[in-house]
Amino acid sequence: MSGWTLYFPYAVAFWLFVIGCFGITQSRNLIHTILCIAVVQSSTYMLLLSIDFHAQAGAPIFGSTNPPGSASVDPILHALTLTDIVVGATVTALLLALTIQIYRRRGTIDPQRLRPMSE
Amino acid sequence: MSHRIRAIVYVASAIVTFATLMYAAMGLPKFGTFSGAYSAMLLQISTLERHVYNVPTAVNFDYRGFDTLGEEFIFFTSVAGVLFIFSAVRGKAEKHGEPMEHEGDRRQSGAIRWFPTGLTAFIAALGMDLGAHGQLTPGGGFQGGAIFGSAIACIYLGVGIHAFIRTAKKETFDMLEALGAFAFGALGVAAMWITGAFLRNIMPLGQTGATVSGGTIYFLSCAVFVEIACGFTVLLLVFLKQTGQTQEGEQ
Repeated sequence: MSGWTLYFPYAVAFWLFVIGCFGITQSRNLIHTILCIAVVQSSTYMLLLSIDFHAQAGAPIFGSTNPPGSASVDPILHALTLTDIVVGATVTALLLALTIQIYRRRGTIDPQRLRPMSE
Repeated sequence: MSHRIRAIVYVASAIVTFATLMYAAMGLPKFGTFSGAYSAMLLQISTLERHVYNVPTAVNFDYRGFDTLGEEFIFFTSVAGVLFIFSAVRGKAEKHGEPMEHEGDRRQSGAIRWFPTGLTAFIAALGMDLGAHGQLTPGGGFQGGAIFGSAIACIYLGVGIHAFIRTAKKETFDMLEALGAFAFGALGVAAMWITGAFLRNIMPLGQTGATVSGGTIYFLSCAVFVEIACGFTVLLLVFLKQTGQTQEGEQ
């Protein structure tokens, strides 16, 4: 592996970040906005896991084919990604609850039509 | 700002952001070459020290167990937050009482009713399997709990919103969720009481590869399993009650 492939996974992570933010700016529906936030967040999974990768290494879970101590990717970044996913799920749940309340109060979930001062 | 101008402004700034991030990535370790000293050590010692095969589980529930306590309470707090957000209008909404059986219930085809019902047991078994063997194979409390929660969602698909809300009591799942969160903290405090260090592994480690092994890792994983499974069920119940009321309000 050489040249641009050394940085390509990072480019994918940043692309997910940028395209997710693009979705947020163009959103006409808060549920769509929440999904875009999930895309932005998935860029962090991509970044963590691409730092983690080793061509010759297996998962950090040992068994009969890869006894303890054999080559393996970084377990800490895997644990961090797990934390990241749990936090992502909770953020989505909270934002969806807020969206339902906004719809109740304002009758719309189009962020373009939600003006701070209008009642 | 119109849609179009917004897009142009964004694309211009996104190109700059992307270029800056790529420049920053040049300073990161090259793809496939990173090797952390801490993790290299963990890979060597965790099976010997803690009798587990799954190193990320050992990191989550033992070496960095304190971080997982925080993570668990992020989940707990957000479930509480959802309940709080919906309770703000409860006074108004509760006048409608329990959601009535609406058209959606009756229009459900046999496939939607019976397919999830048949799957429920398998999904529940898979969730429990993943939750109970987190120290040996891929899985753990978080993953198993989430899958078990979706088994409960399958019950909802099978029986319909009305019967589901009537039988699944939110208070029960609320209490079980709190119990799971409490068990995690209590194990930590118990370790502090006995050894002087919070969340130290105080249980017998057991034989490597046995179902119950890894000492407290197994029990912390089970506590998280209960909390996540019940937390997801509470979320499902709350959202279902809200949509039931919204639809009624519109009629």
